Amino acid sequence: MSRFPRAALPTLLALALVISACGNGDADDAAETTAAPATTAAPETTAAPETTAAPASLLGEVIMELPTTIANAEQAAAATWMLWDEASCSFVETDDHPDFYQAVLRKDGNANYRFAWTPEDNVFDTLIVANESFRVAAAASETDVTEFDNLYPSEEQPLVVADLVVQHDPDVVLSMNVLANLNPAIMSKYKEACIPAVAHSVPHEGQPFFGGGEWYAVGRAQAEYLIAVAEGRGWTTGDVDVLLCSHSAFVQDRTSPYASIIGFREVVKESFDVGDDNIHELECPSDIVTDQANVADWLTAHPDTRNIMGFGINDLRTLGMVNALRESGRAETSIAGGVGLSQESVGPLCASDPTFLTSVDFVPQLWGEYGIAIAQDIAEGNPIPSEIYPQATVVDAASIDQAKC
Amino acid sequence: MSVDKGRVVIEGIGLSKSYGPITALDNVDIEIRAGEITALVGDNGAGKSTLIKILAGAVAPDAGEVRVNGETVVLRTPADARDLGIETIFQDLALAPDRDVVTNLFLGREIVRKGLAGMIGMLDRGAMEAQALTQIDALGVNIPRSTGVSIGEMSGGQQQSVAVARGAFWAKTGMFMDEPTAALGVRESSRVLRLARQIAGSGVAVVLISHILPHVMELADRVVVLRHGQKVAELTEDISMDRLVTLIVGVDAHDAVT
Amino acid sequence: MAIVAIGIVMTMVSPFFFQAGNFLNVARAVAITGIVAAVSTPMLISGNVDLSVAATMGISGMTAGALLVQELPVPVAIIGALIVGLLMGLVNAVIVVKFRVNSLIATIGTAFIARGVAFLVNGGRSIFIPAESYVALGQGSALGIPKPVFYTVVVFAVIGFVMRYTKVGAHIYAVGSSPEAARRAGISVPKITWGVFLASGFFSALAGVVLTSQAGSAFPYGGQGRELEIIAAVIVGGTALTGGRGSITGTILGVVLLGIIANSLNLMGLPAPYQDISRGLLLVAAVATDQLSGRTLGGRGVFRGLRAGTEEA
Repeated sequence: MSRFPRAALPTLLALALVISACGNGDADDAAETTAAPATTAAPETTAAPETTAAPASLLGEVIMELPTTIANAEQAAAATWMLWDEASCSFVETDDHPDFYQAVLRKDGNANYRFAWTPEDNVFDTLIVANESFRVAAAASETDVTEFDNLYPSEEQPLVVADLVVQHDPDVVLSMNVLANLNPAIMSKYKEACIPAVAHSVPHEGQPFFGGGEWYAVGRAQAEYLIAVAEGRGWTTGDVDVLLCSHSAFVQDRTSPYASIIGFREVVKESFDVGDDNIHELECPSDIVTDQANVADWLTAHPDTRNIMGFGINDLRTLGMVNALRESGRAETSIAGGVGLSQESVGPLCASDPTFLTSVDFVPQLWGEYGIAIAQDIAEGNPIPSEIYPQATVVDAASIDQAKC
Repeated sequence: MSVDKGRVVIEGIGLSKSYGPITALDNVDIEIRAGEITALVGDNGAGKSTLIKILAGAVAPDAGEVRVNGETVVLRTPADARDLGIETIFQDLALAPDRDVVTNLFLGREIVRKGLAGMIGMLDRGAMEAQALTQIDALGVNIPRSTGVSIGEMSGGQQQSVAVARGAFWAKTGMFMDEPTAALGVRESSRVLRLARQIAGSGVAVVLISHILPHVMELADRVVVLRHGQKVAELTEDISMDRLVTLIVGVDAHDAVT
Repeated sequence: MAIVAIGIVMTMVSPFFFQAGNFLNVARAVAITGIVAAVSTPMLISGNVDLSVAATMGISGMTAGALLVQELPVPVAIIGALIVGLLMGLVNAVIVVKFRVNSLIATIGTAFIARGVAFLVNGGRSIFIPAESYVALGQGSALGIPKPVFYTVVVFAVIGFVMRYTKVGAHIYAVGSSPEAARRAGISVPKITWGVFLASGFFSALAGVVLTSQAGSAFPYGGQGRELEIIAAVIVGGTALTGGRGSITGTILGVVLLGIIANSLNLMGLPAPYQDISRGLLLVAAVATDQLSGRTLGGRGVFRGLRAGTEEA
């Protein structure tokens, strides 16, 4: 976490593509938002006071204003807004809301709010960063935030955690449980205890949703990036095969990270006219070596492929794929993208690898800031949009924060 | 070899051993002679196995001493006894069932090559095979000569023959056989017993523990009878079935000592 | 036999199977599991099992990565990783020999511990390896053959030599066949146990080094889940889980057989679940035929069983 300099944020954001739009991401949405990065990304273009001016605020000074995807009038108008209703112990829709939503982290001041954060685990790269972000943001805002680890993939722990949270009785809980089938039980515990809950990663009906990454939009953004590179190199549709490093462990629909595969596939079909016969989904269990072996086998079975455009559901898979492409002598005729901006992509991007060109930064290093800011709004009684995404950014060798290298 | 026949090579003097309150062996003296087959008989728990284990270094006596070739020795482990040329063939087979005859014959005493290859422990398989075959031929043992057949694939008699052959191969002083025919059929038993006789004939002191009295009478030059941990008789002649049974079970014990 | 049979079928099904390049694919894919399968063979023959091999790969790979990030020389990183492997072996041996804990249980325990420590090395994060000379050890080819394959061949040769031609090898077989017989024959069973565990730790760490150099990245869950695949390969190759029987040649065949199955299904474009199913069927068939033919019919055990099983199949 400490390696991510806050000062670099505006630079990064200025380079950023806004890749997600209010959740329902049909083709037009994605195209529009990615087409207009500069106007939506820079923090100073969004006015904070409108949402933070609640007269009864007990909160202290503003620490950080965070760009969110609902930053322009069009999206704000389309969004549903919600308000915590203490009497019914539920969120209610409201039309009485500002034009824009801006998550703003403030000092706790005299509010004495207590929040709970229940991450999936403390193991996955992204979550290690995210959890650290919560600690940093809690310290900076002098807010009482307690972490309860859901110990993914435990099926029991999330329910245990829910009970612990109820015991703890925070003002707001940010519930990150990725096992969708457990969410109804967890959310009903919170409702019973009258604790407002924000669903993270997996949406839940009736609750506001704070998404980490919007996988579908990520897949689309990566496809668009790679198509731009392919066109720049003069590749034509007939020359290209698309390799997708997927995994059968994911639910094969829009509710899981597999959504990125769906998004990627759609864009290469729509924008680059690649046929289904030239789009190949390979099994990648995400241990690099098997990923590499499986891609190598595929390449052997398809010796006539000219140019390859590759995408893996995380950087590890993409690195395995890139290793296979290199070993088969196709480093110069292949381009690939990953997700997560973890160590496996930071290395190649910093080294300007000819094949591993891009990854997506979900900004987990800011999830804490976002999460606490959203929780502060709920506790204050401010309306919030029903879906909030931090800006995820496509990162390449040119745009990567050199401090990470 | 025959010049040695009858010479006492292994002696136990005043050997005692208790396991908690149970006295397994009580002040037993025994002399074992080269070229002879000495049989140890007695009921279960009479102390036969304990006595043999003490002489073979597997059990330390509480009192008494062991002499080999007239010298007092302290046998801490079976390896100490083996170094003095005393081999034991156990009731339960002490062979590696998945290995072949050659490997088993040389188990723990493999021949390594000379020079550098030997320093890294490289086996001299050829020398081991040659010596093993010589030994098998010398004993006339009926076991597969081909290498690469594991012991586990052989019959019980063949396996026991391998065990006896191994004992004979290394026994220079004495060889103890604890119920060597317990698990064998009639023909296989007689084969093993013939081997025992042959080994004794080569000048080794053979000690045989057996429940099967006909075998004992047929084979032994000397019979030592144990009862409740004590030596009650040592017979060299007039060995009859009735006499042995009487001595073993303890009826009419007074006139038993010859 | 089985390999030839699959080879013939595959050559008919996929024109890409019978190609030098594809065999190199298979070789590269099995190189890392091959190293661990090689050392797991004497482990199983000695009557023990080491389930911490995969965790050792992870922790040693992370060690190498952490040392390389500190810009220490490549040999230092490799030696550091190997020392961690030897420590794993040492801990396992102490638990098994001194505390008389069954090796299966002992190594499940140490596997958890090692995996946990591997996550602590870099706060759970993977390490992208900056040293090009280290990565060059595992990536690319030499003489047209993927580099990891060379290490695997050397490891197989060394362990195969020890098992077949040396006193130590003979003693490992003897201990696994009958610890009591070995003890009575004057073989030190604890010494053999120490030896196989230290070797297991050492070569698993070597596999971790090859894994990280091939991947260009050290990740704390490196090798995770491989332990069962490795033991499956060894058993399919005819080594008895009960000890005493087995051979390095058999393990090479087992590793290659599983590698070819995965490769074949990949070439045919069949999804991963079919690979798991065929791997499982092969393992069960191998062991089941061993039970039927090996012990009761006085056969030679698993390996004959394997041949019988796969010829039928």
